Amino acid sequence: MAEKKRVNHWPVMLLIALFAIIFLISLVSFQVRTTEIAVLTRLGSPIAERDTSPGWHFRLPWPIEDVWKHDRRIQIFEGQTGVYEEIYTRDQKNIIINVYAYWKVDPDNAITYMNKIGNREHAENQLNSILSHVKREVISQYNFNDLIATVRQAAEDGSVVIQDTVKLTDVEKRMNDMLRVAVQEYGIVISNVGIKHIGLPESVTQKVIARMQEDRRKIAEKTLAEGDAQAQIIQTQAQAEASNIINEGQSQATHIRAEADAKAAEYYAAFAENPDLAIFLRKLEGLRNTLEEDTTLIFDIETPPFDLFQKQAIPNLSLQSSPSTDANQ
Amino acid sequence: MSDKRPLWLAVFAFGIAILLGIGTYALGHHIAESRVIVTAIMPLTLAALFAFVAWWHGLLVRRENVEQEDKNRLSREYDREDLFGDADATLNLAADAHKHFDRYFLTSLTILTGIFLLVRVIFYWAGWMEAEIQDRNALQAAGLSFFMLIFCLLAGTFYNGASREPGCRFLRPVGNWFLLAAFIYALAFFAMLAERFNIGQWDSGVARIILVLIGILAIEMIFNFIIEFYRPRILGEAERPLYESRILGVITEPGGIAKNVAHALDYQFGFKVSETWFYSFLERAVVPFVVLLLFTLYLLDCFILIDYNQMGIRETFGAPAAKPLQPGLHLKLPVPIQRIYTFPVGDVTALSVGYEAYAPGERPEPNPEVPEEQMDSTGGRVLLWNKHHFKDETRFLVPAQRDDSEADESDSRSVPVSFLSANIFIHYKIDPDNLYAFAYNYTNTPDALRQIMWRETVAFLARQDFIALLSSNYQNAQRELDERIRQAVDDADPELGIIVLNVGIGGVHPPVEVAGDFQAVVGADIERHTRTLAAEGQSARTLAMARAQRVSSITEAEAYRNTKSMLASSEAQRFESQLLAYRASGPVFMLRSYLDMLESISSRSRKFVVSAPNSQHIQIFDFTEKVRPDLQNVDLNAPDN
Repeated sequence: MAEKKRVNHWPVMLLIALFAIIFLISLVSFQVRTTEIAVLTRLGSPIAERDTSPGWHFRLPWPIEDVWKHDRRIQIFEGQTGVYEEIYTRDQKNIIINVYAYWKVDPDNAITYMNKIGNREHAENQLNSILSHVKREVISQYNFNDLIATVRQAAEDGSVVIQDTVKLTDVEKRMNDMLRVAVQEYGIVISNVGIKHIGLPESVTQKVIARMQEDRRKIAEKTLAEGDAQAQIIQTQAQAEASNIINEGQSQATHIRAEADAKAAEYYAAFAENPDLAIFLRKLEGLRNTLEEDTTLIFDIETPPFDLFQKQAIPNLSLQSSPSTDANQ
Repeated sequence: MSDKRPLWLAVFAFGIAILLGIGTYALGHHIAESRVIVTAIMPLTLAALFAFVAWWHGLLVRRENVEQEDKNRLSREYDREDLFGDADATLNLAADAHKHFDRYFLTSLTILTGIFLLVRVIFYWAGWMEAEIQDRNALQAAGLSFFMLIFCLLAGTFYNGASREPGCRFLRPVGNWFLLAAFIYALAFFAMLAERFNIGQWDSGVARIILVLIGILAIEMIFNFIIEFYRPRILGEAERPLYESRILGVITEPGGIAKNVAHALDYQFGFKVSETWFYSFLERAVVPFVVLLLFTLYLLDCFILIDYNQMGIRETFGAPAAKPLQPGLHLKLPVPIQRIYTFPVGDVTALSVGYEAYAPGERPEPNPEVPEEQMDSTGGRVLLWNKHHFKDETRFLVPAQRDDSEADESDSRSVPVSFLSANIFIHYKIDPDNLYAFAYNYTNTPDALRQIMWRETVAFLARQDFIALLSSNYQNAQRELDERIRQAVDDADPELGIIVLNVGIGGVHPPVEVAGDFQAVVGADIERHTRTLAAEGQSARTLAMARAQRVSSITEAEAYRNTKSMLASSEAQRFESQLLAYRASGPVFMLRSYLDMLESISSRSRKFVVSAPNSQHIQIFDFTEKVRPDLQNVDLNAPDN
C-alpha cells in the first residue's frame, strides 16, 4: 500500500525535486548578461580578480558570496529636480536650459562605482547635483549670442544675413569635460553631453511674444499704408494723364472747328453778291427753325396773306400788279 | 489521550504563528520588501488568534467535563438525579460559560475578524498604488520564502491532522490559515524566482490576487455571522467554530475536492461512479497529467519563431552568440540557459521632437473662452497656425527678425530672439548589420536618438533666419537639418545601430499666440494689393474716359467741320440759285419765300388772326401751358408799342 502511494505521488515529487535542484543551482551560481556589469563579493568585500564577464559562473552560496549587478549600457540622464533650469549668461540674460548626459558605469572601475554609488538612483542623484553645477559654471562664461545668433551683418550683395556666433559645440564640450572629470571618481564614464533645449523664463517669453505680435502688426500697418500710398499715386497719375488727353482732344477739336469756319467763310463769299437777300433768306430760315410745334401765331389782317381778309383786298387784287407782273411789264 | 493535549497544541500553535508572523513581517517589510510576503502576515495573525481561541475553548470544555464528572459523581453518591439537575445554576457554571462562549464570544469574534480582514485588505490595496519596488535580492527572497513555505506547510499539515483528534476540532481553522500562509509563500517563491530570472515582475499582481482571496474569506466570515441567526439547530451536531471558512477548507484540503466531486457524481448518476476503473484512472492520472502539461509548456519555450521582418540574438547564460539569428524557426535550450531576443529590423520606426501629442482619448474639450482651441470650419482637418493641435508644442529660440540697426542699443538687456514651433521627424530602422550595437550599446536606443534630434534641432534653429526658414529658405533648411542629424547619428559613440531613412521638418510655424498676427501681415499684403488694384482700375477708367472724351471732342469737331463745309457749300449754291430767282422777280420771290415759310410753320401751329385796325405787327406768344385763359385776357384795344 505504501509502495503504491509513493508511485502515485511521483510526479509531485519529481516537480518538487526539479524545483529544488534549480533552486540549489541558483544558490551557487550566477548569470551575467551582456548588458550587465557584475562584481562578486565575499562577505561584503568585492573580489576584483573573479571573472564576471557575460556568461555562467559559480560562486559560494549567499551570504558567503553575493553578486552585485548593474546595467553596463549607456544611460541617458536629463536631470531630476532641475530638468529645465534657469541660468544667467555672462551678459546677464536669463535663460532656461535643459542638458542631457550619456553615462555608464566604468567597466574598469565597477568596484568603485559599487562602493560609492551602488545603483542607478544614487548615480542620478550625484549626476543631478554635478550637472547642475556644471551647467551654471559653463553657461556663465558665454554671452547670449553665443547660444543664439542674434547679430546680423550686411552681406556683399547688400542683403542682411545672420552672423553665426553660436558656440553650442564649445559649450557642450566644456560641459562634457567638466562633468567627465567630476564623476570620474565615482566610477562613471560620461560619453556625451548635449543641450536639449534653450528657452526663456515665462515672463520674458510673454514679452517676446508680445514683441513678435507688435512686430507683425507694424509690418501689417506699413503694408497697408504702402498700399494706400501706391493707390493714391496711381489715381493722381491717371487723373493727370486723363487731363492731358482731354485737353489735347479739345485743342484738336478747336483747331478743326477753326478750319471748318475758315472753309465755310470761303463759301459765304457768295452771299456778298446780295447781302440783303441773303439776310432775308437767313431770317426766313431762322423763323422756320425757331418756330416749333404748339406755337400760337397771332396775325393781324394786314399781314400777308391775311391781308386778303380786308374788304379792299379783292378789288385791289386786280388793280395791284404783282412784282412779277411789274417785272414783266 | 491526555485531556490537556488540545490545550498544549493550541499553545504551541499560538507560539508558532507568532514566530512565523514576526519572521514574515521582517521578511516582507525589510529583507525582501515583497508585497506577496506582506500578505502572509494576515493568515498568520489569524492563525495565532484562532490558536488562542482554541486554547480558551479547550479550557472551557475541560472545565465543563470536570463539572460534569463532579455532577455524575455526586449523583452516584447520593443516588438522586434531581438534586443536581439543570435547574441548579451553581452546578452548571462551566457549562454556562461554554454556552456563552459559543453563543456570544464566537459570533462577536467572527464578525470582528471579518471586518478586521476587510479593512486590512482595503488598507493594503490603497497603499500599493505607487510603483513596485524592484531593487531587491530576488534570489535571497525566494530562498527565505521557500524556508517559510516549508515551516508553514508543516505547521498547517500537522494542525489539520491534529484537528481530527477528539477535542481538537477548533484547531482546524488554525491549520487552514497556516496552509494559506504556506500557499502565499509558494506564490512568493515563484514570483521571486520569476523576477530573478527576468521572466517578469509578478510581485504586485500576485499580491493583489491574494488580497482578493483574503477579501472573499473576510466576506464569508461576515456572511457566516449573519446566517448563524437563521441556521437551524440540530440536536447533537458536531461543534464547529463559526469563523471556520469553508472556502479555505476547499483550498487547503485538495483531497476534499475530489471527494466532493466523487460524491456529486455518485449522487447524479445513481451509482458508485467513484468506484469505476475510469474514475480511478482519472484520479490517478490527473496530477501526472498536470505535471506533464506544465513541463510541456516549459519545453515550448525551446521553440522560437523569428518573423520575416525580425532578427534575433541568442544568449547562452547571458553571453550573446557570434551571429544574429535570421527569420525562421529556431531551437534553443530552455530558460534560464538560453534566451533569444528578437528585434524588428524590417520595421520603419518614426520619432518626432518638438511637440507632445495627445494620447488617444486624452484630448480635452475646447475651452470656449480660448479662440486658439476652437475648431475651424473643417473640424480640425486643416492644420492652422493659430489653432492648438497638440498637447504641447516646444518653443524653440531663433534669432529675431530684425537687424542690429533696428535694435535699441540703449536696451542692452533685451533678448533679440523670437520663438518658433517646429515638428522634426525621423524615420529609421534597425541596422541588420549592426544589430548588436542597437541591442547592447544603449539602455534605450530610440531615446538616445531622440536626444540627438533635440540637440541638433536646437543648434540648427539657433542660427536660422526666422522668416526665411518659413518661406524661401525652407528647402535649404530641410536639407541642412537632414545632414546634421544624419551626421550626428553617424558620429554617435558608441554606435546607435540604426539606419536613418528620412529626416524632415513636419511643420514649422510661429507660436500659436503670434500666428494670427502673421496671418494679419499676409492679409495686409493682400489688402495692399487689393487697394493698388482698385486704384489701377480707377485709373484705367479715368484714362479710358479721358481718351473717349478726347476722341469725342475731335470727332464732334470733325463733324462740325464737315457739316459746316457742306452746309456752307450747299447754302452758297442755293443762294446763287435763289439770287437768280430774285433777279428774275425780286418781290414775288421774296413773298413766295415768305409765304412758303409761313405755310410750313403754320401747319403745325395755332393761328389767330386779329382784325385790329391799328395792329401793325405780329405778336407771337408761347401758350403751351395755358392758351385760352390768356387769350381771353388779351387786351386787344391796348395801344401798339
